[in-house]
Amino acid sequence: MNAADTKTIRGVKLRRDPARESCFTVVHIHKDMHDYADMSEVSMRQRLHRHMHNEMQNIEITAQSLVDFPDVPWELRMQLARQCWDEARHTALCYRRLQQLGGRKGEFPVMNYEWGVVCSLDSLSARLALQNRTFEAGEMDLFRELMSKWREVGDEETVQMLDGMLADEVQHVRFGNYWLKRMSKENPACLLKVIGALRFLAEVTSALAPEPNEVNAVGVNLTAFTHLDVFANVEDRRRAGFTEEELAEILRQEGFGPIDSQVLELQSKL
Amino acid sequence: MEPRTESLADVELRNDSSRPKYQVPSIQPMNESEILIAFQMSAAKIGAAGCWWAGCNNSPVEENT
Repeated sequence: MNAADTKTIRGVKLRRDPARESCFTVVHIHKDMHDYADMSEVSMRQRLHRHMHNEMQNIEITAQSLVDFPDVPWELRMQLARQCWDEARHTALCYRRLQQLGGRKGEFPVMNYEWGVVCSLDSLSARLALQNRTFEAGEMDLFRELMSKWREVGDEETVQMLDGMLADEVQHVRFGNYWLKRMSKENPACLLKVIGALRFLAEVTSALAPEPNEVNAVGVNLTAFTHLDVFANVEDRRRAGFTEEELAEILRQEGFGPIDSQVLELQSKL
Repeated sequence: MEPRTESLADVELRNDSSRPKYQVPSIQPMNESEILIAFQMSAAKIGAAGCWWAGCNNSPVEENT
């Protein structure tokens, strides 16, 4: 990437933002977002707006990979193209639900976080490792929690929408896992890119994390409220091609201590 | 110049016998699968940077007492 393609936020170099319609206000750090901690009407609209914009980014990241890596196998390009289609449909679904709840495009600031991170990487193996195997796998975990949150406020329509989108995400993670593992067998050197990508994400996460008592644009103290307790969605991760050993490592990171494959096997039968 | 025959471990032990014995670092080779297992990041860790995917909860952080 040349300098014109990058931006520097809190000391980390990220891919410059993609083009946006003039109705959108683009921000670069979390404290400038309008994240609310509750499920008030404005918060529900903001959550849908944010979700819509995240799906937009997923189209753009995937489409950019199709442009940047024209020589990868046709079957993989077809999977990426199908992913673009899915993400476009998800964007439209979120936008429709946002409008139904009285919201509008551009109502809240947006941030191109995933785009900035993933499109900074110069290999498809690294992008699959972050976009599909890390971000989208994380979304599978998060979706289950978000669905219960929407269910608590009686919005079954949004729950059903998220459920349908989750099914597509499983497929995106699955093909990402399949191709990443295949690429690493054929050319183990690509794993250096994967390792570099995960270290880069850790660096960005650390740089962008809120300072103690940092308050966002709508007055929410970003360190005074918890984030959802997101635990691995073991069932869907298994469907998406994660091995029992990979699941055990994710659960270990979530503080569950050593969990061996026998425990996971037992869990799958419950 | 005489060839060096004393190892770093010997020097360390000679200087301070009360210290734990020097352990030669070991290298654990990893295959492709093991690397993919080790280099993962959970949603909770990604979310540490902010309200990732609007994951804010409405529970105040419990203060340590």
